[in-house]
Amino acid sequence: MKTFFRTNTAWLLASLVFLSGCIFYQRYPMAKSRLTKIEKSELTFYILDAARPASRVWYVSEADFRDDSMTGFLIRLDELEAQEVATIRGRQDAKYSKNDVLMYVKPKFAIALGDTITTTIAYEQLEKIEVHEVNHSKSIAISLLCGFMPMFFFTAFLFSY
Amino acid sequence: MFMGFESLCELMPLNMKQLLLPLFLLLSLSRLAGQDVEDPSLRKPYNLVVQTGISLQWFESQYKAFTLSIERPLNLYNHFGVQANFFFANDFNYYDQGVTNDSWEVAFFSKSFFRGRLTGRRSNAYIGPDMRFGRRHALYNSGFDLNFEKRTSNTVKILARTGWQYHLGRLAVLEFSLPIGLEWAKFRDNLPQPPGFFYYGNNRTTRFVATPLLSLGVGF
Repeated sequence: MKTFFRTNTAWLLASLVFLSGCIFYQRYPMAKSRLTKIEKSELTFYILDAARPASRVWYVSEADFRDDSMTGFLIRLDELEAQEVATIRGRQDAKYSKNDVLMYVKPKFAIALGDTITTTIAYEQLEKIEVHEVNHSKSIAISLLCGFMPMFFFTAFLFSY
Repeated sequence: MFMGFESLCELMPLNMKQLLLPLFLLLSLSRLAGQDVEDPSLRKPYNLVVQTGISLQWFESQYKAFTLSIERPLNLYNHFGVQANFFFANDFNYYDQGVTNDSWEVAFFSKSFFRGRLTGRRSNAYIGPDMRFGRRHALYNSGFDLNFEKRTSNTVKILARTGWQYHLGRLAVLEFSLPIGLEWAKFRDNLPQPPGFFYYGNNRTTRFVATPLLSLGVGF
């Protein structure tokens, strides 16, 4: 019995280590009304020009969200940093971006923004908001297939005798 | 090569231009101002979900069952419900125990759907506990003479239920779930142990079971 539990614990630990790599992140749209509801302490907000999201990006400092508008101090990123923020290259990159909130503003509004500016942006000026979150359906399906199935059949095999 | 709009217009016959003009004018009336999405956390959940489907029970003896379940959402992310499984009679042999079609079980389960941390969207995937009580009428080979006898046992299952529930359109619900866990069976009589390789004495059996389920239903 002791060997049984030791073996199963080892399998469980090995599976947990393996499964931690089976979490898939994906980009999802977020409703504007969620901005006032979410916990912001860990988040980083970016403003992106919807027409040129890979090159015109501002970091938002001291963001304050109200029901219909947000206020913040905007600092424009250089093109390389902007591309880093706007582009997701793979699973790990999406995971590292899980605290980034990408707010796309209309090009007409973005063209008037300076490099550093304190401004108020009405939510009407936002085209869309995107965040990176776990794709639970895919993560669980892949985890079950790759991680749990060997343990699953192993346990079934143990109980068979 | 990309063709400019002017070049494209030059190539078009006159009647095609006349046709396309009102279409483009209609486009200007469409809602281009914002692509805001609805807050998923404010979506109204179903009052009740009724499903029927087919389930298997795996490992050692394999059973098939017809299932009927009713679940009630507590909120958008948490459901609880009851499920009845009615087993189909299956073939039996020396090693296996054949179940008769008057076997059944009742499951009490809850489902906690995963949610998006920032978006509040409800995932299709869920996890939750599942506890089942049932009565199994099974045919056992009482010896080497292929003399089968019907024996009744009470079964208890404690399972962890993982699944995916998809809402198709307004009403239809499609679900696949994979509950896994342990089953304990206790014979209701005091007959001697039937032969078999999975019995552990004291008229008890313990098994590792997986009961995949495919069901279809309505939510309203």
